[in-house]
Amino acid sequence: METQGIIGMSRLFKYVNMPNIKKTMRKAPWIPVVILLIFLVCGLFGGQLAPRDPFKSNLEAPLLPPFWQQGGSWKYPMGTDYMGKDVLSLVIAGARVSLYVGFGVVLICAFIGVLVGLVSGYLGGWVDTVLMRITDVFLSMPALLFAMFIAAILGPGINKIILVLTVLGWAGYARIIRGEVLRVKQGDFVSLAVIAGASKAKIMWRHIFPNIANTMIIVATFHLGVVIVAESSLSFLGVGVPPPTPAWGSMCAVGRDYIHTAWWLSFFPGMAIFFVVLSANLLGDWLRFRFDPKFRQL
Amino acid sequence: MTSTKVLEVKDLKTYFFTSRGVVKAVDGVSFELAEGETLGLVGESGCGKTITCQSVLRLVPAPAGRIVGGEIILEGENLLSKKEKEMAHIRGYKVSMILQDPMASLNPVLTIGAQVAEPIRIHQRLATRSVWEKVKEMLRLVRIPSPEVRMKEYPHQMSGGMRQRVVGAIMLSCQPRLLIADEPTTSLDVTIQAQYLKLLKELQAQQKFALIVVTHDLGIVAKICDRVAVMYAGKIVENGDVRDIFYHPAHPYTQALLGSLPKIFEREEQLMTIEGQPPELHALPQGCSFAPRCSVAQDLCRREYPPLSVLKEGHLVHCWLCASGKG
Repeated sequence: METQGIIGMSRLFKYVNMPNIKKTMRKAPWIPVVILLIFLVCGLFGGQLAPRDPFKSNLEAPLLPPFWQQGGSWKYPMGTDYMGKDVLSLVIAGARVSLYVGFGVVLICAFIGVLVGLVSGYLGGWVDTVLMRITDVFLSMPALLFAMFIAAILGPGINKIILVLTVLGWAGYARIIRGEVLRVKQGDFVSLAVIAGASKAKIMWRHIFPNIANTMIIVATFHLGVVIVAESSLSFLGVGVPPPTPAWGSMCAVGRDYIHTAWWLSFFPGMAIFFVVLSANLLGDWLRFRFDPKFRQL
Repeated sequence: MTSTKVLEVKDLKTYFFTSRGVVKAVDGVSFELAEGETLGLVGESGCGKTITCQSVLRLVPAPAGRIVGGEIILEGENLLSKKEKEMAHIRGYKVSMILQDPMASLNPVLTIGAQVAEPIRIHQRLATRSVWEKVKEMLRLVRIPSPEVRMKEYPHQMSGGMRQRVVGAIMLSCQPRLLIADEPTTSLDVTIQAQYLKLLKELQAQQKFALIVVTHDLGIVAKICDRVAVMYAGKIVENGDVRDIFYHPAHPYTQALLGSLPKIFEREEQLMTIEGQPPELHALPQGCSFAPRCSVAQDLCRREYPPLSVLKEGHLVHCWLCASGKG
């Protein structure tokens, strides 16, 4: 079973692979890719990378400005907060929450959404009707309001945030994937597979899924940006990640009280959110452009 | 042909239940097919040829379409009484079908080898190594040059003719007893067409499968078929040996169909046509459905459907003109 999974994964990458990889990569949006890579590295190895311990306060040096302002030093390039913690280290450490929540939610949503979309689109009939009505219900929820409501009931916590955002996010995948499945299943190669005696599950997994994998990846990339913003918003509102864990959203919220005297407290985490989300969207745009057969050149 | 019977279709009825009424797409079709025999199914568009083939595989588009009657007996087993699961094991294993469009028949994201391997993997328990050996053998059989290289390629790297041959390899990989080819050459080049048909015949000689060719190209029928069934408005109006049909067509529709072929040695000002349109299948006229377009129709034709007349051994026709002498 283990090898089966690995083969499945390598197969997935094969689909994404383009025949002319060199040419493809030349036009890749390098800046967003680099930003996302930095984000990834910070998220994975934040603790080791941070120049200082983000949890250690230094009460002798509270609210130091960034290095280029008077009173700032290279010791704290982005300044310190009211407890004397290094803002740069906090921003780096905060990437972990965004990464964890972002990828967690996107992966779970993609899994559920693709499953529902495939089954709904391929089987059709009453299965389709039932699944799509459920999807409609989830799509029509006022996202942030619902998230705050649930988060307030469950209490703060990183896994609860993932749960809430997953509940809100999967329906979008299901809807888009279903549409793609409806298009792909018209293909003669699907009829041919039926004639060859392939089972429904096999047709969905081997014949239809690879043809919609591109769409899934594009949707996921855009969704990543949305999730990071949502998580930050919840943390900002105080219903997200609880305080001791550094998170960009809650850092912005804390900095709000000092905005007139120490703008850097909110500015740097805010910029981190901005760049990561923008990069995700730019990458998504490029992927869409690259994978859309209308733009594809042979 | 005296060899064993592979397929026997008896009084097959496939109807579509639509909001405009019941469309009798296939209405009482019967024919037989022996091992290694080729049947040509000809007729105008929309006369039920494709639906007949889909019915044999039990793949009529649901939920509108349904097989409402008759029997389809493949090697002594009635396919209509099979469960869906049992049918899945028959498809691709005992009965296969080649579709029209080779460009669309292959999955763009899977390698040729993986697609040829699929039916083998579904229906036969073989080790991975033997599966690939089999794939290579099949590709060699359909004359794909250097199959070791080609099986790792994707469909877009191949020409239309090659793709159609790959489809052939997929469909024949389990040595089916019956192969249905639904306009196999319509979208191919004329030169490639001849090549492909020749290959199909050679494979048939080797593997001894029965072949049903659906086409409206009478040239193909003359070249590769042993028997011909002419369909009109969901019924087989004439069924016989290919020579009988071409030299002694009995049904006015068959005569008209043959008459509408352009002839190379006769310089005609105008091609023969069959006046009018085929009838709407949900509102068939009483009596013979060809009567409104038939130049020799009588009152009787418009009242009652003609019975089956046997002109000679194996030449059957539904026409009052042929029946009149006897009754």
